[in-house]
Amino acid sequence: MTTLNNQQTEQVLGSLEAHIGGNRKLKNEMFDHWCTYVETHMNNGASFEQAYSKLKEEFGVNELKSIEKTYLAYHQSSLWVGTLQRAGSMAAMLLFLVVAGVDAQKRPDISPVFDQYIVSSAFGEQIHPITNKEIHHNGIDLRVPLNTPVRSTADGTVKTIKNSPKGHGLHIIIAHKDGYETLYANLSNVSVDAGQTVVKGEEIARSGNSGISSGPHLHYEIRLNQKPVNPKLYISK
Amino acid sequence: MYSKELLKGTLRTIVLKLLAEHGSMYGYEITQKTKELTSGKIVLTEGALYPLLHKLEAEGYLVTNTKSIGKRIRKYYALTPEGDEKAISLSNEFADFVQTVIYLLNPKLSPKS
Repeated sequence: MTTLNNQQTEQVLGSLEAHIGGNRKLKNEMFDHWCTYVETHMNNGASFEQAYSKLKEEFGVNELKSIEKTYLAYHQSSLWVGTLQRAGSMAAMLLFLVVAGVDAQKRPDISPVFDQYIVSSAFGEQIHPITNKEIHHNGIDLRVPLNTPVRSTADGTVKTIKNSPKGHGLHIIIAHKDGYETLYANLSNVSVDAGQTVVKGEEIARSGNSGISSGPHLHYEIRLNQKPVNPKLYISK
Repeated sequence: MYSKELLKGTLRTIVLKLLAEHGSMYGYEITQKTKELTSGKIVLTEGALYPLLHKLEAEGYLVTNTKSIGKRIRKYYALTPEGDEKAISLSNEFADFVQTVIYLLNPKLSPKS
């Protein structure tokens, strides 16, 4: 992938600044957007000059003005919403809190271990510790000592208990409400049965080093309608 | 290209669903991915995309992460738990809407006819 040099970057910034006003947030993003636009075209064989003139052609002054206009219009309307919300009744606010509270209750929103932990591998694109290849990591790895108690992160039913020596090792899948499922892997010991109901915070297993693993850790996943989501953003306590 | 009016109500669904499929993405990436997946039939303009992203962030559906690339800062957007759930409910609603409109336009296809 081509990256613009300093002089080229300055040139893009210069022409952006000539047309766009004071909105910093928008300007920063348009700056990256424009640079990436030019780089993509250079990657496809265009010279900087060609890509730059194509950029100016596509994003004329009028297009930029209209972006700013939309942006300002949105900002003014959101200011209005803010004022209205502040003026809104306490009853509505309380109702909102109650609804939000119930909703959050169902989500797996606590840490799967009781104590502090270090995330040794995050969610998303990561380098696999054993194969060294870039892969999508479907969960997070918590570096915890062997036999650390593992707890269910929401109310639910034990769906699967399985041992896959060439994969997750000894692992548990728990089904929760609203399409959520959680997976706890590389365990040493399981203390629940398949089909059993569990409550949030209940101990279900002890952590281990089973399956494909480069050291004692707990692999934890949250799936929503079978798709892995980022556990880090769910853990609130 | 579809009319502005038609796209207006679906932008949110498109953006949230793309982020649900691909994890974190930056603005340019979202416009390119949309173009690619729709063979150029849906083009997200920057004027529509960035204000929407900032709005979704303010509403708590998105979180951002930044990365410096030389002098510039790239902003990545990802779904919050509320965003994960919203992406599902909006795309289910939209799929249902499309089905309903198909029946409306072709009454013969409707199970009620």
